[in-house]
Amino acid sequence: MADTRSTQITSLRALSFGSYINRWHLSVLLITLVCALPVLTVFSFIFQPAGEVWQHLTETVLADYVSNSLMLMIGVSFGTLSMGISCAWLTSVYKFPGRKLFQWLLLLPMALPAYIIAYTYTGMMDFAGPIQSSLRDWFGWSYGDYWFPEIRSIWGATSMLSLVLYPYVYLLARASFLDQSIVALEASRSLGAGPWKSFFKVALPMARPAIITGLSLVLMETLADYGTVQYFGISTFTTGIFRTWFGLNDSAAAAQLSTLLLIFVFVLITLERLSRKQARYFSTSNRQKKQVRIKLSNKKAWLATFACFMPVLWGFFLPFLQLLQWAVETYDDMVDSEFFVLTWNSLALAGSAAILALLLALLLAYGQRLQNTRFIYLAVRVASMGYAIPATVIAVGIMLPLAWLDNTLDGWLRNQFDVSSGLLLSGTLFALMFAYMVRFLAVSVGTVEAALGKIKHSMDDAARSLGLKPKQVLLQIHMPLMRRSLLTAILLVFVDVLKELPATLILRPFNFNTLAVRAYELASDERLADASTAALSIVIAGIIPVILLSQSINKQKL
Amino acid sequence: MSKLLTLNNVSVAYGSNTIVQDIDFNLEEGQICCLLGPSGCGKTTLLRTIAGFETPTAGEISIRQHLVSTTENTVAPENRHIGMVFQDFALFPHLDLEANIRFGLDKKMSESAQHQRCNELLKLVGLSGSNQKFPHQLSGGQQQRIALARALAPRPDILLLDEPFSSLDVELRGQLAREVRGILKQQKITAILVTHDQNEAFAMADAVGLIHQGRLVQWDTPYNLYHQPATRFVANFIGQGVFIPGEYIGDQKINTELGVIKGRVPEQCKVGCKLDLLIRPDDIIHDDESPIKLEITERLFRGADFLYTLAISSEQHILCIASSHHNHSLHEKIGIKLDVDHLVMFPQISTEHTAAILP
Repeated sequence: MADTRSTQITSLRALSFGSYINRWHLSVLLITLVCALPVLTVFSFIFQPAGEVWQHLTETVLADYVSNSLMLMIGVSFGTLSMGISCAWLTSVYKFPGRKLFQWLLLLPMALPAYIIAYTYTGMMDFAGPIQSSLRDWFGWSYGDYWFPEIRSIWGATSMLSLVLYPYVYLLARASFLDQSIVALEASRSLGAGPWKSFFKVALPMARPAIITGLSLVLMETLADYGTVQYFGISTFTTGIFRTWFGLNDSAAAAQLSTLLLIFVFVLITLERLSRKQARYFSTSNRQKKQVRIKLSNKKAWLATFACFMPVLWGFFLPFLQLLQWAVETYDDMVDSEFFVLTWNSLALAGSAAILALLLALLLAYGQRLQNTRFIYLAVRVASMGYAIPATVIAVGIMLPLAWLDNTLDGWLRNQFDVSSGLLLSGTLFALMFAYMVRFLAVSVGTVEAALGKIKHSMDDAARSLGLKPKQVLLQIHMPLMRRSLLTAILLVFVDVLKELPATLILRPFNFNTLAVRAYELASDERLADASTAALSIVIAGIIPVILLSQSINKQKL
Repeated sequence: MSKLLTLNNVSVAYGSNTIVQDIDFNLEEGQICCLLGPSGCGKTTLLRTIAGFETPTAGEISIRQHLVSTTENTVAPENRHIGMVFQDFALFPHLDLEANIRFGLDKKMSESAQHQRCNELLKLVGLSGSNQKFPHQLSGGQQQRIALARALAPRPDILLLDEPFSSLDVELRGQLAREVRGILKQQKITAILVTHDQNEAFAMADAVGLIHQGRLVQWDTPYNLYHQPATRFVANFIGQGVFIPGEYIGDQKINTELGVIKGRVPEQCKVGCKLDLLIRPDDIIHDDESPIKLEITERLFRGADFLYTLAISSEQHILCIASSHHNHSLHEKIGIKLDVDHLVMFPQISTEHTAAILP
């Protein structure tokens, strides 16, 4: 009897499903560790003694970095909040000509990376650009007769960033306004508060958590921006890290500077987390959301149309048309075999990064579904922390360990076999892909998690009881059910990688160019018109996620 | 008959939170049993442990004398050869009915054999010809039938049903419960049903296990559960009824406010000991001739009959079912007589003996 028992137990072990769980568990932990590596590396430099360069930095430019970054953050907050909230309020509460169209047109500026809108406006507002030329033609001025704002300044950078980042605030504020029960507003009106008072006393406070979430995303992007501030010559953390690394050749000081930047970022992450939590608390349980939009008088209605048109005009149409014009002018010179190589590089890179990110996201999200412990939950959050970390910091955090690995391996090989392995990992596509995963994994994880969350757990159990292993459940049940979301996840990461500039600039292999890098290089050489084909390609690709977003908005039937 | 399923002192806990404890029962081939209990009693966890989704923290489970769950090892659900029907049916929305039903069939089966098996099952559940339909095109009852067909298709050793009727309309529930029992009996399927609805349990099961606070308090036939409840909780949970206090006066007689009742008194009960007697509505017969007249304090018209609440004293009530023709008004006094076939009694535990279990 005892013998049969023990054989049964051994055969049990072979069939045990504990081993599956552990395999998923293990992959989740592995991905988390790898994704956390750059941040951990950067932080480990806190404990390094400050070097000479650091001394020099604190005495000279550090104050500038901090004050410029802070000023940018304050300015961009004002810009995005005023545009985002007013447009969200108008489109969700009032009736005016073009309201339905503006609902998604207002998202279009998201398609433009900040550095591209910066190049475009620089070209437009140059002395020889269309605006100043026309002014001179109309008024008969000549050079020196008039004052014209200098776009290459902190207010210029603030405007550029505000124009392309306000959609974050707009989106979240709008969702919150629409989510607010109309009853709350009606109650306020019935108690004698006018529309303006109702907005400030009821609607705005109720939407505050959502707006703060949007604002923290905006500020994360602002801190992460490299292209715009570099082009406008404004010293911020990101340009400082770049300069310290490549100009002063001090990786430790660059890492320490990164740490300082990360402290800003973590404050924002905390802010975002807290406000998301609060948003849940603020959301009304009253499901009565039949929107009755208020009709505006003719004059006011056209004013609303005008107010909504301005951000789209300045944030999308003007720069887009300018790029289009330049592209048409320079088409013959710029679209050559080199351009096709560039395009191919970009597409292949973005495509493979998107697919890899999806696979990792599936592993993470499904691993979490199989074993939803606090630990796994935390691990997945850590793995998808990168959306908040500036790409410049990620690049530094990747370069350091990879260079160390390369050097160690090379040194060992030289010692032992007298051969050199050279640089195996740093400066390769591997390093680049690594950075993209750390930075954009959150995008695909978020999408996959949301889709997976909609599939009831009884589906899994039903499939298991009918003889499927966990992996087969994922392949045969979940993936077909999530088809659309998986495609969305791929597209979103694809476009993000296509637009990405600083990490690509730092980590790309020698002579490997992408559309974004090419646009940056040409613009840096003041060949703004020539940069337009590459820039326009990025912008057109960037419209894809906007369309996806607007579709999901339409689906809500709002 | 052979033992199909054996649970041996099974306990399940999440951390320090014990969900079920020391569950011990056997199920014989072809038997339909029901795990009944209030929500949160642990019955679904027990079912999921039998299915292999949870690992016991103590005890063992065997199917056909093969160990499938111990504290160290659990055969994965997909390797247990069980069938399961879920509360929300869990039909795969991206697959048509044929693909849903064929989902669990052995992939080595030939295409035609699979198709034939699918048609067999569609016929069994009365949905022949719906092969190409999709789950969303079906009504709730039809989805329920397909869920059953899908679970039965691979000829599982044991079928587990988790609150299978609770998402259906009340009228549909009883009808489907009878239908499902018919199908299971015809196919000689061994099944365990989890429910909180005693009518469903009585309609479906050969044996009922009543679970309370994670423990199996009585394992019996539906008849015995109603007529011979093992504990006060069972007496309370099953059916309707009221405890009335009584005192043993010897010679198998008990003195109550309704008079002296004769019945088998537990042996440990000596003369003078206080008892609580369970009086079910069917123990009280309405009889206009009877000398015992009680006042109606509540009346509930239920169509075929009335459920009257009658006052014995200011705080002691009993329930009485009277035919629909006996329409009496509130506060009227009506005659009753006791027709106690067998007495159910428990030694008095507290002064709250008057706590009536009203419908």
